[in-house]
Amino acid sequence: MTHRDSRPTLSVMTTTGSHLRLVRVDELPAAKEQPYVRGMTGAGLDHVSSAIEGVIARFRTLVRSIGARRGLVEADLDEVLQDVRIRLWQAGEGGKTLEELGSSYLYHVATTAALDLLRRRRARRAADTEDISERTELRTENASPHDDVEARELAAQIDAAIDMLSIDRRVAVRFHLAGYDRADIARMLGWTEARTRNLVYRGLDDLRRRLTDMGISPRRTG
Amino acid sequence: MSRSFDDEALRAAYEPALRETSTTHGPDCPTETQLFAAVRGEGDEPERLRVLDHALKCPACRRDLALLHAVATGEMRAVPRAIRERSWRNWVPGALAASLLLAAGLAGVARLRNRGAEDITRAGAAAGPALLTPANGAAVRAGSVQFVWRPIPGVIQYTLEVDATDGTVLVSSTTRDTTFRAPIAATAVGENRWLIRAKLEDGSEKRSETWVLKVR
Repeated sequence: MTHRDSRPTLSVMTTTGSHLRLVRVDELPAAKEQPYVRGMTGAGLDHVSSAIEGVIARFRTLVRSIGARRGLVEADLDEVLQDVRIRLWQAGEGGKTLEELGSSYLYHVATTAALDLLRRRRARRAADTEDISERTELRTENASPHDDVEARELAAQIDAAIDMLSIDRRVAVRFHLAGYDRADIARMLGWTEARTRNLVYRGLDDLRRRLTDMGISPRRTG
Repeated sequence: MSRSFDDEALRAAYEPALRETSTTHGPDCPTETQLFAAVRGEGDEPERLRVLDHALKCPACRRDLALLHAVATGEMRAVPRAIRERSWRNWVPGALAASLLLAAGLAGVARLRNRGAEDITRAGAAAGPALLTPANGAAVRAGSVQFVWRPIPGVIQYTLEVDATDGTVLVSSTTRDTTFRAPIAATAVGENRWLIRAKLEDGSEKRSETWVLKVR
């Protein structure tokens, strides 16, 4: 069994108003004498667990806020965070405190967990012998089947019109319509803010012109 | 005559296309590593465009893109690229850096929440300045070109913008007047576009139509 010295080693991130700060273990109100070791039980374990859960909860809030308007699937995030939780525990058992690990470790672990999830999912699909095509609707409106079909047809026509744009405008417009902001687009494509704005404007102008030429308007016309 | 989509109507009409999600990838789908590189802005632009163009249309890749973007963005917003790449390889930071990063991430989220509708989404909904000359599609010689537009009330300043086809800004000049003579370089030969953005007293912005300007 691993033997640890008795120095207090557990530190957690906590909130003070809207600010986060790191707290040394000797500032914590309880369980400061508890080392963070394999086989820990009782109050010490609860304390470590709640520290990790606190970090996970705040990270979840951050990621959800970013992903909410951009099509993030909640189940994917849950799976990633479960993996992050396990890795934080493992890192702790390896002798690292949360303070030592820091938030960039959290980002690193979360990103690795996300990539691992995608890898596993793709490998699983590749191993399937049958041609399984899993396609689902994220949400459905309280619309009649007829309205729903019409709405899908209109969306498909818009999609076809977007396909006709030049690739830079097409990507800019699809990002814009999918809820990504200009900073997101600029960062991913290495464009300046002005160039991004222009390509979104121009792409949307081109798209409207094409839709008008195709006789497609907000109220369906033939 | 049919009316045109404003941005809100366009987003609403396109939304059903975004509802479809999948975990089934096809042979043309980029790998998760290629997708992640594109999310981080790595690699050359044509490759990033190719990967993201596919990912935004494919239901399975769009879902992956949303996850990778949401997980990686906190870090990318909080840390400059050079530091990010260094810390990626050597990730054990000090406690202060850790708390600052998370605090910065949360502050970024707060800004995101407060930002609300961007000017892009307002564009096209309200009447901006009407363009007068050069006429839409007019061909001019490289050199000094006079731009004229109609005034609108409550304006602090107008910004004339001339852009190349690839979105590069050729001219961006502000004035309180409704006319501006701008130098158009010989390198701008081809089909460009120009528009006027009007900054209003209440802090909002109205945008004119975009007109084609051909430079010979």
